[in-house]
Amino acid sequence: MAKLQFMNARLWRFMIESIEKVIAEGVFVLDKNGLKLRAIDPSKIMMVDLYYPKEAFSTYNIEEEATLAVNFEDIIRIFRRALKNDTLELDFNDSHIYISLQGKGIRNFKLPQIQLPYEKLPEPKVGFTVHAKMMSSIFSDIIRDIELTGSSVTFTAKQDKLYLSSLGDIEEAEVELSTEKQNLIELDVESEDSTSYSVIYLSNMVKAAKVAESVTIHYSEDAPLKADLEYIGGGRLTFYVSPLIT
Amino acid sequence: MPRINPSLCAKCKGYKRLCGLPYCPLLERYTWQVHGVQSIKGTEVDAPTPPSVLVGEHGYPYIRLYYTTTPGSPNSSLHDDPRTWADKEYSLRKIIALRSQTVSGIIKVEATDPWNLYNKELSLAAISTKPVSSEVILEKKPKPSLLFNGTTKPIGPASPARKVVIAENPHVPKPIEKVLVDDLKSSKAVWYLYEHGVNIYSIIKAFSLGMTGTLRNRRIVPTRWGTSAVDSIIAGSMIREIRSLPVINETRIYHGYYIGNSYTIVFLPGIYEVEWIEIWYPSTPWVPGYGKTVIVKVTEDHRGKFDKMDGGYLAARLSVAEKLYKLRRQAAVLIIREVFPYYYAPVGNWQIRETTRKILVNPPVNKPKTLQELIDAVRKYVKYDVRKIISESRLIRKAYQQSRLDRWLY
Repeated sequence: MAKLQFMNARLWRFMIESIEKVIAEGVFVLDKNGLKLRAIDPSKIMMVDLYYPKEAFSTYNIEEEATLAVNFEDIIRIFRRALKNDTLELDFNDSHIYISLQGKGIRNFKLPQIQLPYEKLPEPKVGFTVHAKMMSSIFSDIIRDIELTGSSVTFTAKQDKLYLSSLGDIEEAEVELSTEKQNLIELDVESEDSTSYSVIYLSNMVKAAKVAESVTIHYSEDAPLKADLEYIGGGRLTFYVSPLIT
Repeated sequence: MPRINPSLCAKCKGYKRLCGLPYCPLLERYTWQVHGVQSIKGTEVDAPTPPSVLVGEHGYPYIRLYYTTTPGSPNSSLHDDPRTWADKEYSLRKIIALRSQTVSGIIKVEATDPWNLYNKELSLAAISTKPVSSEVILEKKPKPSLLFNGTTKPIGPASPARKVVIAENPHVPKPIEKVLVDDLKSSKAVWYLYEHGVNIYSIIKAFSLGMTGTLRNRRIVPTRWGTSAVDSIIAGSMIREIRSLPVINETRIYHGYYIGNSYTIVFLPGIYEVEWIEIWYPSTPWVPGYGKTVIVKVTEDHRGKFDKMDGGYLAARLSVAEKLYKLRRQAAVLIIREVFPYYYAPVGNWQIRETTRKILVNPPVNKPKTLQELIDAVRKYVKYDVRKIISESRLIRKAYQQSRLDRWLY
C-alpha cells in the first residue's frame, strides 16, 4: 500500500480541475524522486506534464516505482469537496484508491483504480525564442480578458514588450505586458516572433494558475506554446498547446 | 402552428395564401379535427390500434396514457409508422391527415405501476408488430381536436376511456418478450433490443410503458422523456466504441430535405465531437411572430457531454452514431438543420431521426479538400450565411486551422 500526504488539498483540487479539462483518464507514476504525469488530449492539441518532488509531501511512502491510474472525472468530484486548510491523504493499492480530506472533519472516500496502460510520452522538441514570466493572477486575468472577444489569441513579442491580442466579430482586445509596467517578472526575447493559439486551450489552464506561484510562457514562431506553472514546494505543471495554422 | 398576422388571414379568408404557406393552416386544422370525430358513432370505438400508445407527462407521476385506435381505416399500421412516412416521403399534409383520423382513449395511470398495464395486455398491444383489434368505451364522445407536441406525433380527438379491451393476441417481438421477464437494467435492455433488430419506435414504446428495467424498479415513463432516453442510450453505447476507432481521413458532406426541414451533415477529420446548429426561419412553428431567424446550437464534446439537452439533437445524434459505427471510424460532425415555413406544424422528432438516417445511408454529396471548397459546397445546400456558420464553428476551425502536437513529439 502506497501512502501520500499533502498539506494543502485545495492546491490539488485546482490542479486536477485543469488536468481534467485536458484528459479524462491518466496514469500517475510515483518513484523515489516524486510524482509524475504526462498525457496528451485525444485530439493531440494539448499536453499536460506534472511533476511534484517527494520533498513537497509531508508523507511520501513509496517502496518501489508505482503507477496510479485514475479517471479524472471521478476523482474531481471528490477533490471539489476540499476546503481551505484541508490536508489531503492518498493511499492506494492495485485495486483501489483511498482519498481522505482532513480538516474540520475527516472525510474518507474509496474508489476503484481503473485499468489503463501506462504509455511513456516524449516531451515536445521545440526551440523557444520568447520567454515571459508573470504572476499567476496576471495570467488568469489576461486569459479572461481575451476570452471576451475572440476564439484565438496572438502572442507578439517586441524587444521589451509582449502583446496578446484577440480579434472578434466586432470587438478587439489587446493586452500589453512588460517588466517596466511590472506585469511581467522577466521577459527574454531572442526573436520578435508572433504566433496564434486557440483561447479555449489556454482557458483550460486558468484553474491551475489560480493556485500557482508564477506562470512562465515560452513560445516561438509557428510552434507550440509551453506554459510552466510553478507551485509551492517545487511542484511544476506544464501545458503545451499546438499553434493555429496561419 | 406558426403565428400569422391575423390581418393577413382576415384579408385572405383561406383563399389567397397571403401567408405564403402551401395550405391554409386554419382550414386544414378544422377539417382534420372534424374528420376524426366523424369516423365514430356514439362512445364505443371498435377499432384496431396501429399499435399506438402515448404517455403524457403532465401531473407526473399521475399521468395520462393515450390508447390510439384507427376507426374506419383500411390500413391501421400506417397511422403510426414514421419509417414508412419518411421512406415514402409522405407530405406533411398527409401525415397530419393520418394522425387526425385516429381516436384515443385516455387512461389515467400511476408511473410506479406498469404491472397493471401488462395485466390488461395494454403494453403488449402497444409493442405488437401488427395492428391489434380492440374495443374502447369512451366516457363521452371526443371533441374535435388535434394536439401538436414538438417531440411526439400529433394526437387526434381523445376522450377519457371507461374501458379498453384488447380483443386479439398481440404479436410481440421475441427480444421484447425476453427483456420483459429479465431482471436487466433498462440501459442494457434497450441496447439488447436494438442489437436484436427491434424497431426503435417499438423500443421507445416498451421503455415508456415500463417493460424494461430491473423488476422492482419498473416505471411508466412519459413518451417524450422515453424517446430522448432511448435515443441517448443507443447512441451512447455506439459512441463509447466510436471514440476509440480511427479518425476519418476526408471531409464528407451529406444533405437531404424532408417536409420543410433541410439537413446538411459534415463529417470532418477529427476526434468524435458534434456541433448541432438549428436555424428556424420566421413563420416556422417555434418562432412566433417577429420576422427574425432564430438559431439554436448544441455542442457535444469528445466525452459525450452536451452543453444542453435537446430531443431533436438526440434524434440526429443517433443517426450519426449509427453511420460512424457502421463505417468503423470516428469524425468531428457538424449538423446544420434549417427549418423553413413549409414545416407549418410540428409532427415530432421522428422526422429528424428518419431524415438524417436516410441521408446518411446515401453516398456523400461532396468531399471538399480545402476550407474554401467546403464553404462553396455547403453554400449549395444551406440558405443561411455559410461564412457566419463556418466562422463560428469550432469544429471547422479545429479541422482546418489547428495544428497537432505530434509534429513536435517524434
